[in-house]
Amino acid sequence: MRLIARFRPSRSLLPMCLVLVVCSAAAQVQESALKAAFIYNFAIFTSWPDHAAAGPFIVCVDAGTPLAESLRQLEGKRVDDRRWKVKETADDPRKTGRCSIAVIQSTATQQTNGPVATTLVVSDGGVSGKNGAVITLVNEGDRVKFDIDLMQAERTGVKFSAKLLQLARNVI
Amino acid sequence: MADAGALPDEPNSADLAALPFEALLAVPVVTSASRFAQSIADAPSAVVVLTAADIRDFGWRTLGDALASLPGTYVSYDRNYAYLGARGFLRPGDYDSRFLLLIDGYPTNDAVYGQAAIGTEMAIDMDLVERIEYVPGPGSAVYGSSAFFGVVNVITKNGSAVEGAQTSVALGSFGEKKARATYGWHGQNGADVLLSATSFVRNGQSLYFPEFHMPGESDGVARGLDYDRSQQFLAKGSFGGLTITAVHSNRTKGVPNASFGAVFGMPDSTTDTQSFVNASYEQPLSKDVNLAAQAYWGRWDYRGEGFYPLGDNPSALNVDGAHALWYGIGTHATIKSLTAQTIVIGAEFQRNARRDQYNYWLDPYVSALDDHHSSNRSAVYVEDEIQLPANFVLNAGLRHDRDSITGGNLNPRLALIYKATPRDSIKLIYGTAYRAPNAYEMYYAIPGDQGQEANPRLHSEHITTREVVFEHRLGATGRATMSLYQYTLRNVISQLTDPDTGALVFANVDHAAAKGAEWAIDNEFGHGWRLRASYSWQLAKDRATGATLDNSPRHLAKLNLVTPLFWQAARLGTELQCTSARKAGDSVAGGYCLANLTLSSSRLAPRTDVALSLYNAFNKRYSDPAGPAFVAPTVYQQSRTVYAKMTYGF
Repeated sequence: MRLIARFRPSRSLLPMCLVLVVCSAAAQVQESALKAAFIYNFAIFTSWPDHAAAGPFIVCVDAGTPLAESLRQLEGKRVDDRRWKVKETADDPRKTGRCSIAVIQSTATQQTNGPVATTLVVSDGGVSGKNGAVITLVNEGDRVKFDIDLMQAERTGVKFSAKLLQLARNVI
Repeated sequence: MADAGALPDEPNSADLAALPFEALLAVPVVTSASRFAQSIADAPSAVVVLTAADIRDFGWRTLGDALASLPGTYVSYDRNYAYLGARGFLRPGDYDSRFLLLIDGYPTNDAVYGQAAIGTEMAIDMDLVERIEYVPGPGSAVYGSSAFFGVVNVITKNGSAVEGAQTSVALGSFGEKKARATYGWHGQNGADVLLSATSFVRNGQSLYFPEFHMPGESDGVARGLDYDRSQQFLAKGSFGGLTITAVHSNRTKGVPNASFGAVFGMPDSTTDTQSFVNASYEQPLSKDVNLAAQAYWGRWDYRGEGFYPLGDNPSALNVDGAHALWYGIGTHATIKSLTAQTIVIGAEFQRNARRDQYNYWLDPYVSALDDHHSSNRSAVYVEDEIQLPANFVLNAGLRHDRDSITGGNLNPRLALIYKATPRDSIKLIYGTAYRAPNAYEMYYAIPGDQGQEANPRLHSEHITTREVVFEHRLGATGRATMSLYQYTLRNVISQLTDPDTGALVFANVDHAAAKGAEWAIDNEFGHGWRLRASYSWQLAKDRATGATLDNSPRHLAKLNLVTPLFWQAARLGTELQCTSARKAGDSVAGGYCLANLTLSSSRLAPRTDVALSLYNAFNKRYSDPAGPAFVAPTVYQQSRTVYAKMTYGF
């Protein structure tokens, strides 16, 4: 972490040196693995209302998808003091109760009865501001980026750290 | 940073989650070629999407290179323009006017020839293309005229895809050089800017044409006439729901093969200058209603200069040209308030302010044609996608176009989609389309017995198609498709000789029919392997004579394979395309197989992409049918070329 401490995380410098490190490992990174790591970081840099911040940290996701598999590989990790737990569901993940995060696909129909309280809805693709998600993962070229919809976030009651907001591509 | 350095070859999510968040933003992923697989399953067509990753991995330099990789398509080149054919239809000599080419929704087909520019004459650099959506089949029920065999929608990159300054330089065989400078910026409020300029030149080669070899007079070699030069500029800005794109391009191509009766070996060239400004706006009106609006202005100036025999003068300079200028507005609403229905209602208006053509001899100045026309067209359309019980989806579209010259056209389309299983869908599609005669066909007139007559009474040509598509999803993103189709064309505009005057004239005389089958597969095999392959069998015939159409191959086989090399440090893009023999008038263009190889890497040096391409790797000699403007029945195509490219991001 020294590089980051020494240099201000200027947008131009930082990706360069980090790309080098990752490059030197010649790693082949699968999209779902990277997106799962993104979602884990969303959890780290978001705070939930007190009444929703107890018990295991449940991540709900469509069953059988590569993303579900990658999220499951994170089991054993912790978010604050809460255990990361993946709940795969055949129904709409947003309708599964007690999810801290619900991951939907870009093709999911827009929720008609508003956002689910205290659930951070993350959409894999789609258009932020239109898909009803709080955070939207976007593929741009061979990079993954994310957009944050603050209005949806407010209705959900979650709060983001300044760092998360700073790293987002769009904050609307 | 120790964590990152110790990343395994194929890190899982837990390895990645241990990295600082900033680092994740810079990690490249193995991109999926068919990310739109899900929505494609619902589309009322066998849609194919090509991405920037495909363009990079296969080293496609023109839109035609990309489109030639699609199932059932083929591209012909006459060493001046490139033409797209599909499902056995690509009549030599016609302009490329039976596909609608949209760039970010702007209709690029010009108001004089209706031409879709897919060769080096295209207005934008392929490096700036984010994706290409190809919708095969008639699209007039949504898009109106020109969407005859298909719609090609090119979506350009945003500034956020570039982020900062980027330069690209390339060198290739026969004096090919290209340089591009691009700047992209993206703000967190969604504001986005992309600026880009490209300069391209290709000296070309000396080409031997046996048909012009006359001992004592000419050795049949065209020297210094195969050059190709272009400049392309693009500026794009978005904020909120508004996106404004401005494009300007200019291309000059030498014509080495003395088409249209030019004097062989003399300077001959065509210059195409295109500009457009397109503004599009999207705004959700309510939770269930989305409004989109568009306004555009475009022009396309064409100028051809060449030497032709005139009376006693064996070679006089003639200038042939056109000014096309058009602007329009369009709006559509997408309504999802009814249960299980998505309705799109739209209206469009386009003014073709200039559809002007001219032709003159320079010295002494004699005007042979100075024609000025304009026209308007307006349209209303509606499309409804209805989710029916038992996994059926009905997609119905209807559009009415009114052209101030050629009158009204009503085009329906109906598709019934049955999702037999979550992985299998069957689509039954009935479609119609039309193409209004272009200004060239209606008004171009040159006096003389070798001349051409106008025919302002031309009306639209029509197509009706029936198609069944079986789609099976493979894994997370792949799919296998089989398609059976039957096309019927009526009143196709063709050139014939007026028996009274001996001059050429266009008339609605031809009727044709085609049937065919296509098999296609598109899949990823982990570790960065990606495969797209297709085979098409097609039979297109003239309904009056029963003869097979010119430039209509019976078989097309294609393979596009991406192979990771050196532990993912590089990629090899292998492209194979086989085309069976095609009739070319009384002659035949022989069948051939072509191989293109592109080796590329983003990891050789930081922030640098390098690529080395070998086009026509086995130096296959092959030809495309040429059309009536050429002395020879076929045009010899490009021999093996090498191309090296480097892109650096600051």
